[in-house]
Amino acid sequence: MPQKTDFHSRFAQALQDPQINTRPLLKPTGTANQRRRFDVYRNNRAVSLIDNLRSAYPAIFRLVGEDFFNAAARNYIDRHPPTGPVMAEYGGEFGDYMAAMPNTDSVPYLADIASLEWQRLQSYHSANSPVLNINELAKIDSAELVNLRLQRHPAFSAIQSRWPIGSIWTICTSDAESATSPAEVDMQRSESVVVTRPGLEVLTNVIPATGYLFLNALVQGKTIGDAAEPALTEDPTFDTGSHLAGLVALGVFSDINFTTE
Amino acid sequence: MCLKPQHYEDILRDQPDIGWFEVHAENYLGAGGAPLHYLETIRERYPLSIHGVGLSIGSADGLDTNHLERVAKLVERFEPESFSEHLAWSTHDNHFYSDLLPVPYNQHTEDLVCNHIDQVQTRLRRPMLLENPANYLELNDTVTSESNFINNVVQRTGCGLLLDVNNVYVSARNCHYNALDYMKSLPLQSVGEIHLAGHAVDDSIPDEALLIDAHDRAVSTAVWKLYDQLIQLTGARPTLIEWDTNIPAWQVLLNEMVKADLLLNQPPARLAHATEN
Repeated sequence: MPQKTDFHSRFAQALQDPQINTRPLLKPTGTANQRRRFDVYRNNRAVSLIDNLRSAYPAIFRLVGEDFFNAAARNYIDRHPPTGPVMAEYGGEFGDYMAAMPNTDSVPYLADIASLEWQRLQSYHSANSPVLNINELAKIDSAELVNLRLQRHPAFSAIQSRWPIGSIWTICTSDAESATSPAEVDMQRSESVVVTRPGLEVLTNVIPATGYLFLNALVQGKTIGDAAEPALTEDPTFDTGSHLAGLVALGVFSDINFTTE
Repeated sequence: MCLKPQHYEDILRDQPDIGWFEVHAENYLGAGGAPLHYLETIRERYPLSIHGVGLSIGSADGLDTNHLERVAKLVERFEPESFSEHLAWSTHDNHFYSDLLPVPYNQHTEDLVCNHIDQVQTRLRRPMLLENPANYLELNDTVTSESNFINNVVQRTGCGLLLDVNNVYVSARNCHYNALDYMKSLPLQSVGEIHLAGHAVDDSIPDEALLIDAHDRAVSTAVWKLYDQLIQLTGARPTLIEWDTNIPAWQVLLNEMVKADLLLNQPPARLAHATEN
C-alpha cells in the first residue's frame, strides 16, 4: 500500500492504529506524555461510536453484557467505520457482525434481535404519513373489499424469526422487576414481529404466524382476498377480517392502494 | 439552551422563558418522526440556532456536498437565527472519525478552511459562525498562531465567531498560554455567539493535568470567570450552555442558564465601559 504523507492521512492513520508513533505529527515542545494527549482523540472517537451503537442496540447490550458489547463494538468500528456524520444511519451491520463472532453460540437469536432493533431505529426516523383508519375499510362492501390492495406505511417493517424475539426483546428492554423472566420464555417458539409507528412512538408487536403470512402477501401487493390464501391453507379457520383489523390498528398501512396492477 | 430529547416534554409543558434553543444539525436529518416533530413544535415558540458537528470544515478532501445539501435543507426548513460549525475536521477518505480533529495552522489549511466556509455560506445563503477548537496538543505542521489563523479566516470569508469559552480555557491550560490574552487577540467584534460547557480533568499524572472538553458536567468556576471577562469586552452576546453527556434534569440546566443571565444582565454601564477598552 502506498504510504500517504499528507497531514490528514497521517493523523487519521494514527487515530486508527495505536501502534503508530504520533511524535512526527506533534511539535517537539518537550511536553512529556504526548501519547496521552493524542489518546484523547482516539478515546473520544471510540467512546462516541460505542455509545451510539449502545443506544441503537439496547437489548443486545443487555443480552451480551457491557464487556462483550464494547469489545465487539471496537472491532466492528475498526472493520466497518462510519462513512458519514449522521449517527442514526450507522451500525446496520452490527448484529450480523456480532453473530459471526466466536462465543456467540449461547445467543443464537442475536442477529434477529439486532435486526429488530435496527428496524425500530429506522422506523423512529422514517417519513411521516397518516395511517389507514379502519373506518375507511368499514365503508367498503365486503365483496369489493377482497379485491383491494393496501399501501404499506413508511414506518412499517416486519421480521419473522425461528426464535421468540419479540418476547426476548421485551424482557431485555423492560425496567420493571415484575417483567417475565427470560427463563419463562419458551425458546422453541418462533415469533413474527411487526414494527410500526402510527404516531411518534415506535410500536413492537408479536403477531401469529398465519397473520404474518397474510401480512407478507399484503405488503407484496396482493389483494386482500388473494393475500388470505396462504394463511387459509395453513389454517382453514383463519379469520381474515379480524387479522386485517388488527394489522390496520397497528398502523401497518397508510392507505388503500387504488392504483391497479 | 441546548435542546435534548430528554427535555422535549418538560419544555413543551413548562414553556420556560428562554431566549433560544440550539440543536445539532446531524441529529435532525432523518425523514420524519419524533425529533423533527418536536423541533417543529419548539421552533413555533422559540428562536433556534443550528450547530453542525459533521461538515468537517477543516477537511483535506473537500466538503461532502451531499451532507451539506441535507444540512441546507434543514436550515431552509427551520430558518434558525444562526448556523455554526467547528474549526476542525472529522471526515477523511470517506471515513467519519466521530470527533472534532485538530487543523494545523498554515497557509494551505487557511485556504482549505476559507474555501469550505465560502462553500457553506454560498449554499446556506447566510454567513456562518466558526467555533474555536479545544486543543490537547500542538501540531508540527502549524506555523502560525490560532488567533492569527482565525483572524485571517474571519477577514477573508466574512464569517462570524462562535467563541467557546470552555474550549479557550481547556486549550490555554493544556498548551500553557494565557486564556484572556488569547481571547483579546481574537476578532471579538465578530463574536455572534458564546458557548459554555463543563470539562473533565485527567490528573493521573502529577503536575500535568490534562483538561478534556467533555460537556458532561456543570461549567467550572474558572470558565465562568473567563466568561465574565469576555462579556466585559464584547458586551452581551447570545450564550449557550452545552451539556451533551450525563445530561441532567431540565431544572439543573435551567439553573446554569440563570447564572449566565445574571452575568449578561449586569449594569449596562459596566458592560459599556468595558466595550470601550
